[in-house]
Amino acid sequence: MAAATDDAGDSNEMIRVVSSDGEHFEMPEAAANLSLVLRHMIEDDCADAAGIPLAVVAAKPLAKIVDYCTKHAAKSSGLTIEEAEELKRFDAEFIEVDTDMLYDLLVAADFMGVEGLSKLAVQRTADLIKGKTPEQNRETFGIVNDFTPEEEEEICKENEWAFQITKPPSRLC
Amino acid sequence: MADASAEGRRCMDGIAALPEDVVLEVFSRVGSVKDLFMFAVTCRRWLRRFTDPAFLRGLCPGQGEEGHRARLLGFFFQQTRFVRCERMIKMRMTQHTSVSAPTFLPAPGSPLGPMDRALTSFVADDDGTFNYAEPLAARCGIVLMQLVPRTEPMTATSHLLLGLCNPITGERHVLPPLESYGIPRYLTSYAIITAADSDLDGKQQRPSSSGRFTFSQLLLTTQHKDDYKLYLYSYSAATCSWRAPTMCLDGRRFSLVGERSAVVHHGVAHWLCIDLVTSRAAPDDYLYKLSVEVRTARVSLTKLPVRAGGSPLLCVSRDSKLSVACVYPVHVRVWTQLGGEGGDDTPAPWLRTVIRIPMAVPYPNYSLLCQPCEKFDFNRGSMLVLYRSSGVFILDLEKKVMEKVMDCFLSLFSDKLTLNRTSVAYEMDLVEFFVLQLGGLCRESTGKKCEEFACSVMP
Repeated sequence: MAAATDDAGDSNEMIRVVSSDGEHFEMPEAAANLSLVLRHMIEDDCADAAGIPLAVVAAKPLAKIVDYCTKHAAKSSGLTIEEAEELKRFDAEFIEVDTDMLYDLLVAADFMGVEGLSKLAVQRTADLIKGKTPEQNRETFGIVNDFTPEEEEEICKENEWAFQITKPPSRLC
Repeated sequence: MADASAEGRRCMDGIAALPEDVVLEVFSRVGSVKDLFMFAVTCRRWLRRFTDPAFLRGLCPGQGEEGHRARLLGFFFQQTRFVRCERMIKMRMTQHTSVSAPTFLPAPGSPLGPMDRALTSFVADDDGTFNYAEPLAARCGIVLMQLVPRTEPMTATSHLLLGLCNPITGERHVLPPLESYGIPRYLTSYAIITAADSDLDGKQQRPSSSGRFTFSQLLLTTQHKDDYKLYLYSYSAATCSWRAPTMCLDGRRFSLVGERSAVVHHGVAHWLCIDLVTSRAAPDDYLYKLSVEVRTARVSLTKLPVRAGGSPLLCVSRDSKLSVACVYPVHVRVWTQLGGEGGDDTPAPWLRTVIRIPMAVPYPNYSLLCQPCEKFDFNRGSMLVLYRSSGVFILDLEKKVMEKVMDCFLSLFSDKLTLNRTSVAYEMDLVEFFVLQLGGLCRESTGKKCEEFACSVMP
């Protein structure tokens, strides 16, 4: 993947990035600017034909991030209501990923300083925690239960309030 | 799934391997303490982290050095003004839609979420009782509310209807009406008592894990219009009933001052009152303390050997000593009782310190000092100050610093009509809450650390 021509000074320039596992990607400069890290590198003329190496971002999440930034850069200013709605739908679909990808996105967006994506991924993770029982959380996040049955019982007993899924209707005395 | 990063993480559970700041960001967005609890008890590793004060502090912003700001989760207030007359009651009975439960306004970065929300989003309220509730006070996570009568026979002041709930744990109590046999009377003060308070025998300070945040008793005083006497009532959650009232103060001689909500200290509820008779002759020497022992309901009235003045407020210092803060426009005189742990029979000396109210954060139109404000005890030697038109501040009476919490309470003090509306500061130390609730369970793994912390945070 080394096909881009170098038109320095053009605002439509494509920025090349390289994932930790050596895959090359490119995106418009406006998209790259959504990442704080990339923007600063572009400003300091560190973006060259060889591509910006991103040592902690693997190809799979990087492909998603390039997707995200490209979409958001194209619709950055002066959004109509429909466009904003569409972007929202895009985000909602975009973040429907398995937890492994979600963790990768969290780390990568944090590292690259893509604020919108960071927020999106954090909120998605938080939403996965909401309203779950411990068992459901273990399933979702692949956590191994290492409590003994006695300990589990003690946890339930000590924290009855948290485990009452259906609260008593009312305590009219 | 072949990426190196995912591979490397598989040895541990994925979410635990995320950078600390990302994990904290995720948890602080969950917006529900209960949901965090359900996550904390998934495995030993998470249980350990959720009982580690350092980790927990990261969850609540504003911990700073003293963590005062982090304890303020937000405010409860009622947007609707309930007029207590028969016509309005009839109207309310037919128009169910026109009422709303008290609103929770979160402090910035509150773990209870970024948005305003209704009290009933925290607590189940199938019968809509809390739609007609006016928050009065909060303590240890428990909110006390006066309920507005919804049926005609209970109009005016002849009945007092009260409810309590803990929005964090979902605990909920609707108290049987307090009848007064036709004599109008007014609620003059109250004290929310937790199970931990009732367990205390005055000296003992062992933290009983969950009792700290569990409602056990309500003490309140009312004043009768005809004879000016103050009566003490107590309600017990265990028996679901009111005890017969006792006369506790002669309203012709004494008048309660400061906060209506008691300072509960070592198993005793305290209020300040002034001697109306001597205050005319001796303007500095009229401050008394009305105390009710929680376990026995024994009432005592003690003269405080302090030079009073300004607007007095009862507080508890960081090292758990009772103190009186006399607040003047530009300075505060703080009297702290030395030694004598709750012993009213052996008078302990009171030490005076004076602090100037520091110029807090610069603010446009800075004229704080002459603005009307409300002051509340905020525990651990600090005081919450609500300036009507600029913002909410926490004044540390020991460090002598003032910290801004949030901007002008637009939604709380927006118009003249709502000026006399009470907004109740909702304070709870979530670090302490998690450690006390879960600390006992990880005792084997983290050893004494949790226990020691639990002791050190008990006031």
